[in-house]
This record gives sequence, structure tokens and C-alpha cells, in this order.
Amino acid sequence: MSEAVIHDDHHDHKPSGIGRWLFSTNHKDIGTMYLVFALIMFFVGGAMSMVIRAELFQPGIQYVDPQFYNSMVTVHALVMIFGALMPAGVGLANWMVPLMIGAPDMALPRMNNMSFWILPFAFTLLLSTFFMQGGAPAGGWTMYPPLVLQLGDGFPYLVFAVHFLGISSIMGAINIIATVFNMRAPGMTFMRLPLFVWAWIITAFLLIAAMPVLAGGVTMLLTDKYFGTAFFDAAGGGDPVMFQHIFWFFGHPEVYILVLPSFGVISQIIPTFSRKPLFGYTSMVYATASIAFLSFFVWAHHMFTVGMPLTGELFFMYATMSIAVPTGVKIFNWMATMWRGSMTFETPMLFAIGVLFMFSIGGFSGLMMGITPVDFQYHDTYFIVAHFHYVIVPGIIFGIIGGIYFWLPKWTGNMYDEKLGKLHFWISTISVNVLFFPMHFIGLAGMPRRIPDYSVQFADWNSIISIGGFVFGASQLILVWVVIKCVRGGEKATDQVWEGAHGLEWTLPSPPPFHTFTTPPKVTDATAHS
Amino acid sequence: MDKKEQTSQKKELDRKNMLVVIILGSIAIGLYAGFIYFYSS
Ligand code: HEM
Ligand SMILES: [Cu+2]
Repeated sequence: MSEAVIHDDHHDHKPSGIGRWLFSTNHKDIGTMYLVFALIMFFVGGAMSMVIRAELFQPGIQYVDPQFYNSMVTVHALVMIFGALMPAGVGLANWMVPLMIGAPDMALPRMNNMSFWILPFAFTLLLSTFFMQGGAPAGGWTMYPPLVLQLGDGFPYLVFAVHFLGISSIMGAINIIATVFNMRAPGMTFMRLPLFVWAWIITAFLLIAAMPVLAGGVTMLLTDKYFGTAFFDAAGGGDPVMFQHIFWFFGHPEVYILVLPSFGVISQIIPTFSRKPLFGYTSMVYATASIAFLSFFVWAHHMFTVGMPLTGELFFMYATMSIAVPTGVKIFNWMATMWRGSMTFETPMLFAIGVLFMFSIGGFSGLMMGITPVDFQYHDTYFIVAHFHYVIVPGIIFGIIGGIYFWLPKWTGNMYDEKLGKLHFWISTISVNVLFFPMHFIGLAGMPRRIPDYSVQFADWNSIISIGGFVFGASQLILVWVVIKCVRGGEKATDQVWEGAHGLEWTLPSPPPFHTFTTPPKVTDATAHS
Repeated sequence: MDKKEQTSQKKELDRKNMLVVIILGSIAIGLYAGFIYFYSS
């Protein structure tokens, strides 16, 4: 045990009461709050998807009116992306980045507090629109004008919520960059950083480049509606398609903002349970950076059908294909890491392998839709819905859940219930495929997305899909149960927790004291991660 | 490490952190304002 840790134990008083959380500047507490907030939002957004699947269980209109159905689709997406996925990634970063680089806390602890507390505020704004004249946003999470401008009193709330979410994530991104640039322990060079940290630096730069563009776009929507501008109004000399360009210039980097932290997590998990260092560390770093860079040049693959010039269509088709190269490098590196390793299959590893298989399914359908001529068939059908749910649910959410199982013993000091964890994995994996795979079929057969009713030939698959959805939703309660059980007690975890775990975070006690690394550790090749 | 050295190190770190905030913050604000300005002209 390092001196720093023993020294810390003396000073390990935590503030008490609600003030501990409200005024927290501690990266561990803020990380916990982010993760709890994300979990709550996961269930809020999940409840909305259950409404969607109930309505689609049979053709015809059963439970909700179409306007409300559209709100469910729209707000489900906003809540999941901005309320569950992004905060969960930031929560993991808050907890793990300082521990992994040997820093006592985040570089800007008060800003950290602000970034978090903006979130509940922004979501109160967003969700309050359900009770307003005109209802909640219903024109899709992409907020295309002129449709989105038809929203009633909720419209400015939507716009302000998006601004606040952007401010929160930009502040979070700046904080992570400042932390990694300025607070690394002596000897923790950039090329010794664990890949999770690398993934987060790159994500942070993506956030800083992409979020302001989204904010600018929605500001222009606001001025179009209330201040007489005509950015997107053809009658006033504007161009509604321009909004789509702006939105997707943010939107495609955004999908990598969501996925890179999850990639970072599985880059930690796979070497641990393969008991081998990560294969191709340097190429991993460069591949991640090139994915991020390229992600700014592919946005119009979301707009193949709007009527672009042929050169535009071709450019965006080839650019989209090119992202497959660095992505392939990563997938092959993970497989090579497992190759001839002494693998074991604890729950985090199961989730990580699930990501490998099922993210790839989504990646392949992405490639298909990236081919301009065939996308004319897929566009705005359930095929798209299948694609992005494969990359997001078993691709991103599974990675985050894997990270939760992986680090839970470190955070709480207790081992989680491995049997329940495995049960969670298997029920989730089976049901997620029942839920999303058939969407490829009905999409190819022509069922449009964002519609509360459909023709009868899609009925069978839709009821199967809904059953998959209900089972998947219910099985996430197992996760909650595992987490609660683990927080309350269980077999004590060792400092290293996993036999194959290496890196600074595993040298600390489990759970780590409230303040860690107040005296920086010395990092050498032997103690570095890879 | 004596007290003085510690405070000067702390100051140096604060300076570097603020530098990151100012640079990246300006980039973000610049992108936001620049984008709107670009489309309004
Ligand atoms: C990194 C993981 C990925 C995520 C999270 C993701 C997410 C998404 C989302 C959310 C949409 C639907 C947007 C909407 O609401 O209209 C979408 C559409 C699309 N994605 Fe992905 N995607 C990922 C990877 C890929 C890859 C690797 C490719 C291609 C190589 C790709 C190509 C496409 C295309 C072409 C569309 C538009 C299809 C259309 O609207 O006709 N995606 N993706
Ligand atoms: Cu895209």
C-alpha cells in the first residue's frame, strides 16, 4: 500500500447530509450522482419505449393518441441520449479518470459540481413540456424545421434544455481535458494512459467541437420562431435543409461521443479477463483519434434522400465507408487481445464480448445504409431503427453496464452477485435480439419509422418485437437489484479485485477512501497499465 | 516539500487549468457564435 493511501485514511471525513451531494466537489461523489441520474433517466426513457411497444403490439390505434405517441418517440430519444448515455459516460469518467492517472481529483472540482447539477434542471425543463399547451416535443429528436416550429409552448423549453445540456457537457469535457493534461502523476506519460482515459480525451474534444454547433442550430430555430429571422424558412430566403446539415454536423460526431467511452471501457475489460496486455495499444489510440476526426466528414449520410448533388452523395458515401477501417482496427485488436489469453467469463467480460458481436451487427447495417443508392430503400424505415438500436443498446449500453459490473467492487468494496449478473447478461442478450433483429425484416419490407399504426402484414413481427422489448425492459431491473445488493454488502473485494487487473486504480483499497492520491504515486513501466 | 513550494506549485497548476478553460472555452463560444454569424450573413 502506498504512503499516500495510509496518509489519506486519517483525513477521510466525508461531509454529511444532503450538503455532501448538493455542494460536492469530490469526483467520486459527483461520479456516483451522474451514474444514479443516468440510471433514473434510463428507466424514464425506458418507460416511454414501453408505451411505444405497447401501442405497436398490434396494428391500429390502441392506447395513446398519435400526437402523444410522437412525443413518446421524440422524448424517449432525447432522454436516452442526453439523459442516460452521456451522463453515464461522464459518471464513469469522473470516477475512474482521476484514479487511473493518479490525480487527487478533477482539475476543476467546482465546475464539475455545476456540470452535474445543470442536468436535473435541464431535464425538469424538458419533461415539464408534457404539461404545457401543445404538449411535449413530437417532431423527432432531430428537431427538423418546419415541423418542430409547430410545437406549442414547449418549444422554448426544448431549446433551452438543449442549450443547458450542451453547456453541461462542454464544461465536463473541458474538465476532463484539464485533468488529464495537467494532473497526471509523475511518470504517467500520455502513451502510458489506460485506453479508457484516451477514449475520454478524444470524446471530450469531440464534445467541444460538436455541441456548440447544435446549440447554434437550435438558437437559430428559436430566433426563427420568435424573432422574425428566416434561417430555415424558404419563404424568407432561408433553407430548411440547412438545418439538417447543421444538425448532422453535430449528430454524427455525437454518435461517436456516445460510443467511444464504451469502447474505452471494453478496452479495460478485455485485457483483464484475457490476462494479457491490450494488443496494439498505440494503434488503438490512433484508430480512436482517426474515428473521431473522420466523424466530422460523413454527416450527410443521414441526408442522402434530400436531393444533394451527385458528387456530394459520392463523397459522403466513400467517407462513411472509410470509417470502417479504424473501426476494424479496434475490433481486430480486441480479438487479438483475447487470442490465446487465459480467458474467464465473469459478467463484465460477457458484456464486453456482447459488445464486440452486436456492435458489429449494427456497424454492418451502417455500412449498408452508407451505400447511397440502397439507402433510398432503407431511409426512414425500421431498418434504420434496427441499425441504431444495435449500435446503441448492445454496443454502448452493454459497454457501460459492463463497466458498472467491472468497477462496482472497486466503488463499493463488495463483490456483486455473479449469478445475478450472468442472469442479467443472458436475459438481456436474448431479449435485445428478439427486440431489434426483426426490425431489419420489417424495415426492408417497408415499415416506416415514427408511426403509431401500420399495415397488417407487419403484425406478427411487431408483436414478437414488443415481447422482446418488455422482457428486455424488465430484465434491467436485475441490474438495479444487483447494484443495491452490492452497495449493501457482500463478499469483500480485494484491492486488485480481478486477478488480471493492472493499473493505479487497482492499487487503491476497495472502496477507495474519500480522498485519494493526495500525494501523487510514481508511475513506471512496470506499474503502468499496458 | 515545504509549505511555500507547495503553494507555488498549486498556483502554477491553477494557472495551467485556467489556461485550458480559457482556450477551450473560447473555442466553444467561438464555434457557437461563429456558426450563427456565418449563416446570418
Ligand atoms: C458508432 C456507433 C453508431 C451509432 C451510435 C449510430 C447511430 C445512428 C443513429 C442514431 C442513426 C439514426 C439517426 C436518425 O434519427 O435519423 C443512424 C443512422 C445512420 N447510420 Fe449510424 N450509428 C453508428 C455507426 C454507424 C456506422 C459505423 C455507419 C456506417 C459505416 C453508420 C451509418 C449510418 C447511416 C448511413 C445512417 C442514416 C441512414 C438513414 O437515415 O437513411 N452508422 N446511426
Ligand atoms: Cu451518422
